Amino acid sequence: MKPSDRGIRRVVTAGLLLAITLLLTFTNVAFIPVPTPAGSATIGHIPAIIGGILEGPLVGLIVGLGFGFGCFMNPLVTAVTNDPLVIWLPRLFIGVAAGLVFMLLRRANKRVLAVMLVLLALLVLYYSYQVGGKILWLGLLIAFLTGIGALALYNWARGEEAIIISLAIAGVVGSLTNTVLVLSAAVWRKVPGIGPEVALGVGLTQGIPEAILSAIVVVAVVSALRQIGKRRRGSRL
Amino acid sequence: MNEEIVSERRYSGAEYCALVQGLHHTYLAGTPLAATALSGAELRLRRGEIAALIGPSGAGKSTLVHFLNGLLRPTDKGRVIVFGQDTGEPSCDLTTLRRRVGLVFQYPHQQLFERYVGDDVAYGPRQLGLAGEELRERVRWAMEVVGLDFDSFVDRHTFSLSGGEMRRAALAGVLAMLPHLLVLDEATTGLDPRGRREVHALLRRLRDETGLTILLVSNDMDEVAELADHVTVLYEGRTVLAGEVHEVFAQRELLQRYGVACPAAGEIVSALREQGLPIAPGAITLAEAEEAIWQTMRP
Amino acid sequence: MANYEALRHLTIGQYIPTGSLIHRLDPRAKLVALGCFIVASVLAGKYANALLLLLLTVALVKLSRLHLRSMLATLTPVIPILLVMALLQLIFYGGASRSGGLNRLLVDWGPLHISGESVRVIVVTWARFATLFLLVTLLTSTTTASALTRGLEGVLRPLTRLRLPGHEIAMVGTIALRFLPILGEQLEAILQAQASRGVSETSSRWRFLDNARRMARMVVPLFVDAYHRAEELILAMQARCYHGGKGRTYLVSFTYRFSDYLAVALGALLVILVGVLQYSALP
Repeated sequence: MKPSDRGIRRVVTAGLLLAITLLLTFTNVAFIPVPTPAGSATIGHIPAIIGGILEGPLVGLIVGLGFGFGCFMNPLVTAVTNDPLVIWLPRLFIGVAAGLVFMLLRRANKRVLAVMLVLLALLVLYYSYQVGGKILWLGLLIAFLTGIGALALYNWARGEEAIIISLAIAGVVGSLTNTVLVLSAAVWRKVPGIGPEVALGVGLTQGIPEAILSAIVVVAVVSALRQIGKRRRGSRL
Repeated sequence: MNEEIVSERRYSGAEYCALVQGLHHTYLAGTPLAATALSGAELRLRRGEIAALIGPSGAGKSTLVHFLNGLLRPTDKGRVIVFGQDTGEPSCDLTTLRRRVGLVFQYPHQQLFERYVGDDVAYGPRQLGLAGEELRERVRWAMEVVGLDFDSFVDRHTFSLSGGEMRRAALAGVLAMLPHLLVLDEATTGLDPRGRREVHALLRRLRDETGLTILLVSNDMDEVAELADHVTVLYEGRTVLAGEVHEVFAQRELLQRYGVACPAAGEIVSALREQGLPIAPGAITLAEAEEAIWQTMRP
Repeated sequence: MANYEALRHLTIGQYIPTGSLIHRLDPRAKLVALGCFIVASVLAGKYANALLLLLLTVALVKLSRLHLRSMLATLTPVIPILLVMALLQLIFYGGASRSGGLNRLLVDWGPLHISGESVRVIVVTWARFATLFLLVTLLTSTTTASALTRGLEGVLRPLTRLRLPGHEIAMVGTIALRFLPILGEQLEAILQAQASRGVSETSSRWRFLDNARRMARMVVPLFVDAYHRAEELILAMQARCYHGGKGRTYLVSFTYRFSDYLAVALGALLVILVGVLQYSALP
């Protein structure tokens, strides 16, 4: 592909994904009206993730910019705060992170991914140990849920191709980037009503479901677009 | 399999399976962008017939049709009664309604969403509670009916199909729910002639074998002339003409005023009459025109 | 969603020509002025400057001969949530201090500590939000989509001197704006088609995986459609030898007039004014 063709491809893809983003954010189709700065976007960030995956971090950045803009214009979000450093800046990184992660992982095989999964589980367990130090039942709960989650994930991953797992991971990373960065920014900028504990709570209750949702949707969309998943057994009939 | 479907449909009911009376509808009512879509639309569908809804673009055909399966419900004036249920009543069971009324849209990719064709066709029946072997058989039947070989298509990626194949898949998905009324909203627009003929044959077969009622929304007058028994003409949101297909197409000046063309065969016969050929009027399909022309040549 | 039709018309983007002075401003000037307003509103943290901004905005709306009321009407479904939010913030904002002035506690009743400071923050946030909302609606109502994107490109042009792809970014915006209503229609059709297939809309919160899959189902056809349109557009642009921003000229060009310079100058002044007020002794 000539360099200018690649450029056209990037511009057009970014444009259309940006249109979808704006559509999703302006019409509140995807929003759960939970009044938190990170939580108002359930799938508005997904076009940015997909842009990063399909065409690279630069496109992811641009669509992320658009997503930030869309959030900025949405009354549900700006009622909490309209500090652009909280609403806009963190969103730039969604597509970038997802794109980079996917670039790194796309050639990976299952073993690498399995290792990553184990590391992730360990991380969460460590975190829950930390939390358990303060609030015992919460820590135990997190550890328990992680255990179940890990088992479910393992089961699922066994039946899927490596590239689909990479997509799912990229989706999760993108979504978590959104959650973590926005909440951190909110705490850092001392947004009224968002203290560190609140941020943590929101991050868990909102961020994890959002991450799972992102994984599901990203896998569904990209595999439909790129016809991935040939080796799978096919329809569930 | 066919016997099952047939017996399911032959239940006694009112003569009309769908009735629309004096329907009004305004888009985005109360906003500065409000636009009247329907102002007095009427529609009567008799069980087991193939009916057509025609009219110029923007007349409100799609809007009217969306009332038939509860996507829109009467909030202004008017009544819509489908299979005995009044959709204006809050007690109306929309789920059953949508099971009974299958709506096929113009662009198949708007209706398809599962990764694999088999799953997509199976979606409707699965919602209805079918599973396992029964589900498989239903999907197989639906796919074969539309001409998609079950074994080769069931595991294909939905969005890798060609346009025509996607259209069939979308139709199969709707048929798999065994609707009693099938509404095709410009579902053959853009099909090549052969594809269109195949769909027509399919529709006729479905009606003959299973008693399915079919409503065609179409801008193709030749198609309407071929298939429909009954035609309703919609103009600027109002029903202006309705009746048996030959009757309606005989009103050429009226139709012209309403921005509706006439079937090509009809035009040919009229043109020949104007040239002095003593052809009997009223032919609207190619076959009828052919017969009428033959008649003039017999001594 | 019972109201599928609204997707086609995103009121925030509707151009309503009234021929006012604001309509006739150069879009680049408008964008720059909007930028100034945004900066000013971020700086504004006190009653004085927040209210000043709000009043100015309302004055601008009047100047553009648009209906203030219908603009605000799009907010009505959101108001209950906003009220809840405000209430929560009022209760939980811990900005009280024991010193005098605005920071004194207005309400000190058990667990509730509401200080003058927290009231101010809430009011200012609301004022800011109203200001921004009105401004953006004002911009999109007084500027056609093509003017907007041209304006965007003009504003981004200095970036190209820094070897950043200003034109390309503006092109992204152009494409997005152009396809927004088209994709809106598509989404509407998709939702209708899926509802007709029995995809249920209501769902309980606990069935999370089902909701997720339902969301995916709604979204996949939209992306696929957008992707196909993208492929067509790419082909069309290649066929017309599009090669980016270098050396690109336009059929219609915008020229700056006095009113445009005035608008930008006023915008800049506004920022300074707000900044000064912020650090002054005013409440």
